Amino acid sequence: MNKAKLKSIIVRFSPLITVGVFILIWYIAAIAVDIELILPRPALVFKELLALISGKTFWTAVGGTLSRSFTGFAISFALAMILAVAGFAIKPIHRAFSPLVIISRAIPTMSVILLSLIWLTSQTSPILISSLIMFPMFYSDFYSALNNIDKGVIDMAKLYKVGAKDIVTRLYIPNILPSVLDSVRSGISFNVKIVIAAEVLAQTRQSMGISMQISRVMLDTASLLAWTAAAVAISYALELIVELIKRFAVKWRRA
Amino acid sequence: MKDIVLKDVSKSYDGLTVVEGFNLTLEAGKITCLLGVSGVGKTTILNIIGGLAGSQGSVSGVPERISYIFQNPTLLPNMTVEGNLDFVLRSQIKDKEERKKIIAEAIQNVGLSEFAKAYPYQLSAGMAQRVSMARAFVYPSELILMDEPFRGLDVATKARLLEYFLALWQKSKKTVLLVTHNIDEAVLLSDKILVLGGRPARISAEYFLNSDKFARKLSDKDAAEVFGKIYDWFAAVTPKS
Repeated sequence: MNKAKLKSIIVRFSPLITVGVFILIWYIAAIAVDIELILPRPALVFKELLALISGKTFWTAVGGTLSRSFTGFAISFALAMILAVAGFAIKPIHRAFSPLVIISRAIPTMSVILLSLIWLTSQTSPILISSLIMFPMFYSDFYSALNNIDKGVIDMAKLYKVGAKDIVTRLYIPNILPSVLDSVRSGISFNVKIVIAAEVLAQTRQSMGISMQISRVMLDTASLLAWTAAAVAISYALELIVELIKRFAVKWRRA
Repeated sequence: MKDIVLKDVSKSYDGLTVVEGFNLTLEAGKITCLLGVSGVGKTTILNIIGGLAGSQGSVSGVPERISYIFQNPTLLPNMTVEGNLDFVLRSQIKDKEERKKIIAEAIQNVGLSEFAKAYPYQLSAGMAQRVSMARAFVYPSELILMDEPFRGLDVATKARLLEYFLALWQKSKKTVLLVTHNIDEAVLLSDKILVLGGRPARISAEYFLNSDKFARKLSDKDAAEVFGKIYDWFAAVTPKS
């Protein structure tokens, strides 16, 4: 095997190699600690994960967490998109919203979580938390995406008297799509993390958050790590789906 | 097609008068060049004619539909060469098949048939400018406004682009206003060259080139003479630093 071929194999399988190295370090650390309560071995966590997956409770909890994540995500996405478009088209709207966006970005996440726990039920507060935390990120990303469209191209479309519908569907939407999908990809897994954290604090029934909390209370570290692994896998799968959509939808970009 | 006439046109930006009492006639079906150094007000005059900048005075004869060729090809990055032409034609020609035929011919005219399905990032600067040219000529306009369209291109690419431009223009005979600071482009393409100078901008000299521009060379007697006169004029009026 020549050097170039070896290099290409390493590059191709580098994510798997990284995961392998991580598990190896974990295994060595678990042997060194040798206390299951503090750091169980990877095999035990994997066994626990298989046991979780085979039970109905796991899927109910995952379904509950994902439905809250998607609801919060959809609300913040829609709101941010509408306001970014309005702010882009009418600059005073953007100027009026800028301080609100800055403030909402600066509010400590924990304050949002605690306040929403006071105001709402345990089922709905994770949705509000997710929406409030994701909104400023989406708004800034979408507004920048709109502003970064080449002004020359926009002027060209107007000079050639291209119809408004074509300007929106053939110019604006395709040109902001890469940035929007980048934003969605990075936001989607972050959003799952936020919702799980909110579920832990709100003690939301049928959720991954409460399942993790129960594992902690029961001092079942293997189960807690199994839930964590499940959350990581779900987030990774969601990011992968968005990445595949992006590859399909944005063929025109330089590779 | 009608002549485009500017009478007593004035334009100021933030109190700075760029154009004042300016008169100009663009003859229908001819290529007129506004030649001048950077910042003299050439683009301002082009923008006034194109309706991109308001002005005082009278501007008449400007057709409703105008094509543009700028220094930057301003192609949609998300569309292929065909798609970019289709983008400006959709609102003008409703029949899809007819559009397809016209676009294929326009792409062939600029020698890019093999690149019809290519995206802008896959084109060289010269090729992208050829697409911009094809778009300007395929659009059903009577006037083409060109603002430094060959700027930044190497000599060989520019020479090919000038050939493509003349070949396209020969078929359509649209009225063209070329704004440039390059004497060679002006001499090779134009029927009339208006040299702009001063502030506010005024026409300092006017040259007519009657030779066949499809066979014109810079070494031809009349072209070389006009080139020399303009060059000497610029050299004489430019302050020595």
